[in-house]
Amino acid sequence: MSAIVCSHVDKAYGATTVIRDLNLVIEEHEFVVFLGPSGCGKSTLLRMLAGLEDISGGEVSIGGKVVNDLEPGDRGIAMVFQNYALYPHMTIFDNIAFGLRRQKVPASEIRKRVEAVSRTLGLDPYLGRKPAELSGGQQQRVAIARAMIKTPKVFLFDEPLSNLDAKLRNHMRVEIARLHQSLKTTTVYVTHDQLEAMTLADRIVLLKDGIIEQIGSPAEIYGRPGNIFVAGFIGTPNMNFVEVTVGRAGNGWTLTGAGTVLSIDGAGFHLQPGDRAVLGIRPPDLKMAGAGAAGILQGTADLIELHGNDALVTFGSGGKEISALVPARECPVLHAPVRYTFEEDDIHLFDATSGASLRRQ
Amino acid sequence: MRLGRIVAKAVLAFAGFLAVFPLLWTALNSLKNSVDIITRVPRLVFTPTLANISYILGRDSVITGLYNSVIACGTAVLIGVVLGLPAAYAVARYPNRWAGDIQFFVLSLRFLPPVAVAIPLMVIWLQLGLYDTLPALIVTYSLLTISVIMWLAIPAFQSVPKEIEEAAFVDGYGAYAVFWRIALPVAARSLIGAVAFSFVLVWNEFLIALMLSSSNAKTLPIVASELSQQGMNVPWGILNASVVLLSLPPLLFLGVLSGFLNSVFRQKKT
Repeated sequence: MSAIVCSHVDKAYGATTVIRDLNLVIEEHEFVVFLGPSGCGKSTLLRMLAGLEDISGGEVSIGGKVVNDLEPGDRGIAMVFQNYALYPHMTIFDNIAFGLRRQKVPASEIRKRVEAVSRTLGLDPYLGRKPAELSGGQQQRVAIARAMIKTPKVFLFDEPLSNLDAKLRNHMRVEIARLHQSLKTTTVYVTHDQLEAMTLADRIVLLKDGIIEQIGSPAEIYGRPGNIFVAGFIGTPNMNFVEVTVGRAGNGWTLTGAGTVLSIDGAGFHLQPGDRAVLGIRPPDLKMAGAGAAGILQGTADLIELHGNDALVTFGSGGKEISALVPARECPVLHAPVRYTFEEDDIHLFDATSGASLRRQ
Repeated sequence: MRLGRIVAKAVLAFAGFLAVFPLLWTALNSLKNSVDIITRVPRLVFTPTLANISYILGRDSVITGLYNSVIACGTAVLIGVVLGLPAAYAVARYPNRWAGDIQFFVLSLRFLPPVAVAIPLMVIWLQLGLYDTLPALIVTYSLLTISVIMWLAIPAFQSVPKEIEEAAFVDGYGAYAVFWRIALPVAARSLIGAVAFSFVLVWNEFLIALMLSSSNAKTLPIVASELSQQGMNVPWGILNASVVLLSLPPLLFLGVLSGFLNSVFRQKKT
């Protein structure tokens, strides 16, 4: 049975529609990440699952039960908020126990369960303290403990790491991943950080303006982006986009743009001669071209950013800025001529008007 | 830097002196005989007397005034808390399209000069046959306490992070439990300030009490003011003693509240 089913879900505030006809099925034990730019409706959607926002249209069911009109407490969910949302006037123990008290769990069992959960998360020494005396990372751990203790059907995380500093964020990300491995509870996790999405998710739901742009595993989203928005949103450094015109050449195809003509086999794409398309290549997929290589992008290195192991080389080709991520030892000197080539498997082609991928399924 | 600090401390000490000295002087005068009060050179050393205070406490009118004040103000503050706090919470958390108007209306009750409110109220209570009774005073004062408490409590409730309340909803609690167990305790510090302020406001209230009472329902400020109307010879000692009596309840009230505040504070620190 699916853990969460959203069918034809809408959300509108007055005349403004923020989510439009959204359909999504989340399987049991799955870790799903809602990813997207700010204002894309990902947090709103999560809050609709939690019952903190009304559902304007459509149906949401959790664990096979329609929850549209259920109170948050009756949906079998637990939520971790961005700013932790601990009860400031209660001790850590009471914070964690608050939900169980509502369920009229006997005091002795509450104590046992709180102690077990706090041992898992390393919160033992802090149970008697107030939230204000804990660091951000500890507070977030309390928030996770408060969610865990209810043994919910679904965990909901609303940008839980964005208030933490970079180091702590990495650490907590690993902890959340471990937690999911051991608990296997269905999890929906909202973030705008693609690194979090790529590392944590079984499946990523990429949203923009309240519409799902693509659903897929991190590898699918990265390797086979369904449209130009997904391609541009995922991956650092960003994908290069070059506007090209498609032409026929013998058994293969030519792509003309950025001051060059690239010959490709083209069997993997739906192409028509004369089509206007956008060629996408990720910077790491550009390789130094040896003599006689086909499909060359060349120019003069305008900007070199050394990242340590790698260097990002930016060069102009036919008035178009293109970046290549190369091993640092292959890094050219500034203003030197550079030549890069690519494997045809690594390129992406999108329709210039609709933005949809031209790749054959 | 050092000089700046010295100047700042001097200014602070001077301001503190300005604030505290009159109170201290009043307290001292209440313990003096008239001779010691009306001397040309103010006396710091004198033979203290409890005559003024015992005179004050011995007068029936003062005791009745004290009783009336405590009952009228206490009940009005209680009503203000019981009705005002939930109303403020509702406006803060569940605003409808009237929320802004409600807030403005509540404040507008305080725009009018008190005399403009007092005269119609006097007529209303006269017609209802409740003029010069404690219930009339209690209801009238409740209008003041509810509006003041609402006005101060709305921002206090709004400053409670919404996510905290949402977390409680997710934990399974309903709207009423969230109000009692989350919003009230978290906003308590500001709310106590609001309640204390409303108490001081009605305790010191003079004009409306004067208009609404003639003999039975006189509050302490009215009684105290009447003490100065006893002929040419102003009984300074007695007046000072009545002022001390008048000032004590608000001070006690604030003292109890700030003690409560301190205890809340200390729990957070340890």
